[in-house]
Amino acid sequence: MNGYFLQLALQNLKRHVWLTALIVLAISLGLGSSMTVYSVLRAMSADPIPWKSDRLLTLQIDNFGPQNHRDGQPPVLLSYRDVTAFRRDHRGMRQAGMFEIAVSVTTSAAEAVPVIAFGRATHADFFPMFDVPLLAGRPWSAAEDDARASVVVLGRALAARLFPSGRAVGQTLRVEGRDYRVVGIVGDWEPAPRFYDVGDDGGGAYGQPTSLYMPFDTAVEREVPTNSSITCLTFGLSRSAFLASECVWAQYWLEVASRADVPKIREYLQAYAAEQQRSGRFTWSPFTRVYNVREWLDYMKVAPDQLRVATWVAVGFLVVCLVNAMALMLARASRRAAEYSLRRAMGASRRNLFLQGLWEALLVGALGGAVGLLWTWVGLLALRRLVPEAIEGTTNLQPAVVALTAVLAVAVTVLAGLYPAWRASRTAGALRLKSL
Amino acid sequence: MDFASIFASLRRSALGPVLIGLQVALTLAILLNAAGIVQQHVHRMRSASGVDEANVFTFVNRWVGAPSMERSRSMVSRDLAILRATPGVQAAVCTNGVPLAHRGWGTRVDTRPVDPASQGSLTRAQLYVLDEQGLDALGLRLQQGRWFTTEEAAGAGQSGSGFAILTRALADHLFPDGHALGKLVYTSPRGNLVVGIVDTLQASSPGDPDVSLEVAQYSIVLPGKMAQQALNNYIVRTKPGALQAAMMEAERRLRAADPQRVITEFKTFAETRQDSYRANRALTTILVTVILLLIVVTALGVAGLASYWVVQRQRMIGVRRALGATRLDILAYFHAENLVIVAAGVLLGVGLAITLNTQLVKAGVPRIDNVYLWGGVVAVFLTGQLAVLMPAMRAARVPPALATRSG
Repeated sequence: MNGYFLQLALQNLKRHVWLTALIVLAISLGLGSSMTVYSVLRAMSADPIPWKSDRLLTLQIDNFGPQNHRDGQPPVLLSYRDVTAFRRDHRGMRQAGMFEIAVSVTTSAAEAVPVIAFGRATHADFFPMFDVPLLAGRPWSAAEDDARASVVVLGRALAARLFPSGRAVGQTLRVEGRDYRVVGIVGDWEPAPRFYDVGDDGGGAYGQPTSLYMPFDTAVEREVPTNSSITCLTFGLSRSAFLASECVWAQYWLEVASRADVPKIREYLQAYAAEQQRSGRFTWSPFTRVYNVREWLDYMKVAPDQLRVATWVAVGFLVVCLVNAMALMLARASRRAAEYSLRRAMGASRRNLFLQGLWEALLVGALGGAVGLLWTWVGLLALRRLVPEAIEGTTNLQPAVVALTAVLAVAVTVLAGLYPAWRASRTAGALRLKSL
Repeated sequence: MDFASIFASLRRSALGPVLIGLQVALTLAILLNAAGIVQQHVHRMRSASGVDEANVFTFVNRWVGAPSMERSRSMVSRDLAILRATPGVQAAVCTNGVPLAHRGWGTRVDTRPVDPASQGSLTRAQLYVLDEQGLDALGLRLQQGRWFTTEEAAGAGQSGSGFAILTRALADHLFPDGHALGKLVYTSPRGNLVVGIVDTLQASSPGDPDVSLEVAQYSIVLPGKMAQQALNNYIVRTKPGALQAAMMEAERRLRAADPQRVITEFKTFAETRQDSYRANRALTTILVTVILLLIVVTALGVAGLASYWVVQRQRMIGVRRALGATRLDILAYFHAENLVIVAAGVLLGVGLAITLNTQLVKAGVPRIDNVYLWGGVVAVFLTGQLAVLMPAMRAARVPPALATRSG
């Protein structure tokens, strides 16, 4: 029976080709534009490390005082003295301080022209904490952290560029004019958004991938140039005064064993701030924040509010298209009142006419969905030319979006077709036939 | 026009007109809110930076191997001497940030000494450190007072040598009475005498929708010979027409003087502007596309439904024509019918738009102003009338003889 409905639906589609084309066009445009924008929003609000995002925490403490709040929140980054203290107190299962660095790198061959590598100065726990896969070698050890060892871990691309002949592990590299030993190579690791990089204005959530890692204290001691934004209350400090100052420029991340430990970290941080107030460092009461990965991405507005608004505009457009499709389907159905009467008179049941109407809607939905996917693909392609390279990764057609488009296409058209189909099924046989 | 008969016939087949009216209402609500966002971004993208954009290029220079502060200073002076001697170059400076380039420092500014412990919020502004060539190198327009002297620029450097130049926007914000010149402003406990006011000098990220465009004009310039160890920003202004040639020659000379350097972000200011507003441009393009599609889909919907009505009412039209209605009467009838439906939609749409707007204002969407409101309403009416034109003309061509036929 369904095959017969489909056949009839196809026939009708051909007979009312212009009206059908109009309906398909409206639905596909609505789907295409809303799915294009939603696709970008979805990519930007994705969870980059879902298996432990609720156990990875980053800390904030107000060391600037109430007068220097921005939007009533403590500074985004931390001072060197707080990072050092947190590491000493060692409250998580794993933990690492970090900041973005921009360094000139050459192989030891003296004449080579240096390249700039955007990297990360961090502690040894960075690798196991963020589940960074190593292609070769090993991360450095906590002992090497403490010894301020001259070691680096390279990203795959930079390693291949510097050592085209292969084996980079064990080789020596000149970073900012000093020799470092390569101990490990990071494999494909591309968390998107790059949650650990959104806070410090360095590479950003979608920028250049981190290509070089070195021990935190090695970088601090050797004054390796930071690429993080530095916020100070006073300018013109000497290096030692800078490290002891309230200037903020580093992040601190820690991993707890279970979600139940999160309140403990909150309590610890609050107690730490209270201690700073007692000792006279802060003249204000403790004001601290603990964010997990998802909360952090939300707070940092990785997916901008404006994009959310644009998504709502596009969804609104889809609703308009739905209303439009419904009006046109109704028109198409009314135009065929005579045909319905004839079929009723020939013995088709109301149920049959209703199902017939739904089948037609389904067919239009399938067409609308297919064309809508095409528009989405075109839209994302066009968007790729527009957006900063930094967020190019967000303009891929995701399988989930394809699935959603298909489901929406069918749901939207069936919804729009429901009433016209019902109306058609109410056609009285004899009455309309008289005017034929 | 016989509106009574229009209402009567609309009542008979109510759902179609209701759906069209609903569609018009939603279209208007979306249109009005989206147009506000577009307008806001276009306004940002069109705002002047204050820089002589046609003749300026900028770049970032990094040294290899973290030189000492003294060495860094001497290398910067050498580079500036090279740049200033390059043919076609008008002026050059080394500074801490570049307008629109997302590189720069922020600071707090007040009319009283800045005390970190005191309460109350302070004004935030972009801080530029520039030497005596700064005015010429950026091509700024001095509105009042004077620029820094060579002695002032050679003074204390980053901490401020006791002098400051403000943008007009910041000066008016700090001194609402309009007399900023000769007053003291504070970025630290030490005061800086305001010696000059420039027309405009934008911050490093004026496209950021979280910062109002007004605040993006708040800049303070302190005198100093900027030199940092890690990276330095250079701003170079060339004589008119000499930009491309001077850029190539400057880079060649710099590399010849020191091949072990890394130059990045080597861009004309036009490119900097282009890159700075990419996110704004992406958003406005998305919204404008959706707005246009919205109007097209609504117009097609109106036209589609109207042409169906024409076919459905062919006999009625024929009867009217036979009873003496002219073609113009039939045309007017369909246009008037469209007017009634769209008017109902507009009424609902304006209410919907304003309700939606009061919610969206929290998310940074601007309030709908009257010009846009009326513009949107007129646009929707025109779209409706245009969309119904073709079907109405077909209706007008229906011959009176049709009335006598059945079917």
